Amino acid sequence: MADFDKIQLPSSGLAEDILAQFIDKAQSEVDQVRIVEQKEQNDTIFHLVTFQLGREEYGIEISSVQEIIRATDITPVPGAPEHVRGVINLRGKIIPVVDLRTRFSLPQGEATDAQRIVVVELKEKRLGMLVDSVSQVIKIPSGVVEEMPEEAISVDENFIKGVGKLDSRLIIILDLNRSLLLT
Amino acid sequence: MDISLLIEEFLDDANGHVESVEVALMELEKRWGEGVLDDTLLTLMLGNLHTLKGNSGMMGFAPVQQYVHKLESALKNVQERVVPLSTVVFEAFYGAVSALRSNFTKLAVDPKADLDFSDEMMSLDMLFFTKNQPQPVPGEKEVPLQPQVKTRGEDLSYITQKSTTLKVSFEKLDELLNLVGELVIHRTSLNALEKRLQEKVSDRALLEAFNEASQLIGKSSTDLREAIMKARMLPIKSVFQRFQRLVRDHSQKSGKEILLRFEGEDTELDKTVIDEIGEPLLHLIRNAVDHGIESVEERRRAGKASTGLLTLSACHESNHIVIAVEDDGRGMDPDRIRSSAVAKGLIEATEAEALTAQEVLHLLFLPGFSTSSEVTETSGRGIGLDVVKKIVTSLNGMIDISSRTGDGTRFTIKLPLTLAIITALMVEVGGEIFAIPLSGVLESIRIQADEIHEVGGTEVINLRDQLLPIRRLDGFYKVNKGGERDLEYVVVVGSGEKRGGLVVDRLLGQQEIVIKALDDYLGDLPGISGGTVLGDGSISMIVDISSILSGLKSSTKERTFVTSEKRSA
Repeated sequence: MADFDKIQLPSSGLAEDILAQFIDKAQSEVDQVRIVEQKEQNDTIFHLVTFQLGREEYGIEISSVQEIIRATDITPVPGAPEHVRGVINLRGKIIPVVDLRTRFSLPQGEATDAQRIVVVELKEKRLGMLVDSVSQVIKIPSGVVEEMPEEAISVDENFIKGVGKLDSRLIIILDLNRSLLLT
Repeated sequence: MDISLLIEEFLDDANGHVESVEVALMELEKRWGEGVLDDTLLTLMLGNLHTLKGNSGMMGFAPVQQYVHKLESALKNVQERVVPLSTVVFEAFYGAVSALRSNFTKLAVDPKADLDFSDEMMSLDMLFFTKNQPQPVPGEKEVPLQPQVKTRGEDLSYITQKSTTLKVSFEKLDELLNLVGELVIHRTSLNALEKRLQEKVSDRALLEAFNEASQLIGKSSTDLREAIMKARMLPIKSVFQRFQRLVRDHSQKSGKEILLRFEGEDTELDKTVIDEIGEPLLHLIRNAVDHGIESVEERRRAGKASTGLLTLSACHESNHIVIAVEDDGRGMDPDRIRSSAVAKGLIEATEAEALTAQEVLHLLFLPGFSTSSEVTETSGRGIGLDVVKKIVTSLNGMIDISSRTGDGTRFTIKLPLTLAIITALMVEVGGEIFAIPLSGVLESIRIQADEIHEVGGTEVINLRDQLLPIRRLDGFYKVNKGGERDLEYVVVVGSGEKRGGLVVDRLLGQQEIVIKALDDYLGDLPGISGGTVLGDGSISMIVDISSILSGLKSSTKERTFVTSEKRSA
């Protein structure tokens, strides 16, 4: 991982501007790539925010990501579904936080400083996802995405849209609706 | 009665219809230019005009009603191809739109203003309803020699008119309130910053200036919050007025004479409460109209004025609003209530005899009680006072009744001014902070751990010679155990007829909290009714007293109505 750019997230908790910068930067890069590629082939681009969970790297489409914040002050909610870690206060709004490790039946990890909550908006619902760390914003052409992974991965196939292969990396692209049980 | 609110609503609506007609008219003209007579547009315009006619009639604006009626007929002539479209016809319709608009503007200033449509009426008559109307020669576009439609001086004021009110969605106000909450929280971090500055900075003037600025921000945030809460307040008039029609219709149907009177209808309360009180009021008013107020003859025989009086009143009482529904009808008969309750098996005969007249009235709130044996169209069946009481209780309110046989009945509902903010008792359980709505808290006590006994699988304590079932909240919520203690804190709570004790680790004091609904993604949460954001930005869950109590077996058969009413008295 180390040879890729890691996002430095500010410790203030709000990383919107950083994310916005990345989105802008990535967007312009994508636009350039798109122009080149459209000449070559009609290929779509996956524009992803990637994060680490256990040993694997996951990606979700950037359009559903609202912001990324530090994983502090999660209030447990008694009686909530098992995969819900609790709720957080996002500028006065109370939003649920899903523990992706529990949801994907991965062993519980240690709480670390690198943990982040990726806030996504889906079907007019705002939810947080607790992940081990956020890696980067990346674009990958759909040509390198396989629907059915050959490799053994630890997450249930139903949760994924495909697997992106970049050199030696595997990025598991999540189907958010299914992953977060919104279907 | 004050009808200004109704007029405002009518005009809002009427101008909307006029605008729709105008838009359709322009489209019609365009399509006509392309050689098409679009019937859908005509139907649309007729629909708008018809509604406008109906509303004007209801509001008693006869000239508008007549004029719109004529306009409707004119348009029908076009629809039935009796009168062909022409530039003059369009001019006439545009003239009609302007005439309606300018008359509505007049009404907005003075509801009693003279309305004048005579000129426009005449033009319509000439164009559409004269037998020997000049027929345009087919093929030629139009004949410009037709009667010139007299139009009043072009009135363009509707374009430049200014409005003093605007509609804002409730969500946006809620969002504002959330943001102010954040502001308050960030302001507390200034306080912490100030403390750190005091250690590092020796410039006293600078520190004072900082402190002053921080104080001002704090004050402004508080003011801002109050201002937003005020923006959410509406006069209760808007609810009261909905009953005008119901009472009028019903008194006509039943041959009763009923005058509906309002008092304190300008009393303001939060929209969250306004939204909820319609239903309980509806039941009470139906009851008064159907069963309370007597027929004209019965009133005469009793020596009362033939017109019955139904009064809806509202006033503020500290942090509450008190709404009363009062009639001067026949009142309640305690003996009939007694025998009825006994007959329905709600109470033993001996018990009934022992009740005071006031206690008897509270029997009315028991499920399955309804005084009138007949079922009427308005009151219907199955709607009892028990339902009213249930609604009021769910709004953290209380309901009371007073009645004198022959003189009338008065229901009083006391509700919090807003459902968004409540006072809560903050407690700590297993390291987390929970908020217990104070409206359900009867008292909090400390007991020795060995005072807790187990009876039939339920833990109970003996509180003033009554067995009180208790629930350990750490166990209920499955949070970390608070550890063994010699002394336990018990918060005694009640909901409806049920009472119970909640064992908590620590009492943290009372606080006003803003209630926020929790996302339904979290599923059914037993024992939790919502969440709130505390001053430091942390979240705490709000305890749902009734859901916790419903899981408790009451170990003693209580005379429920007496205990619960003593509380509200």
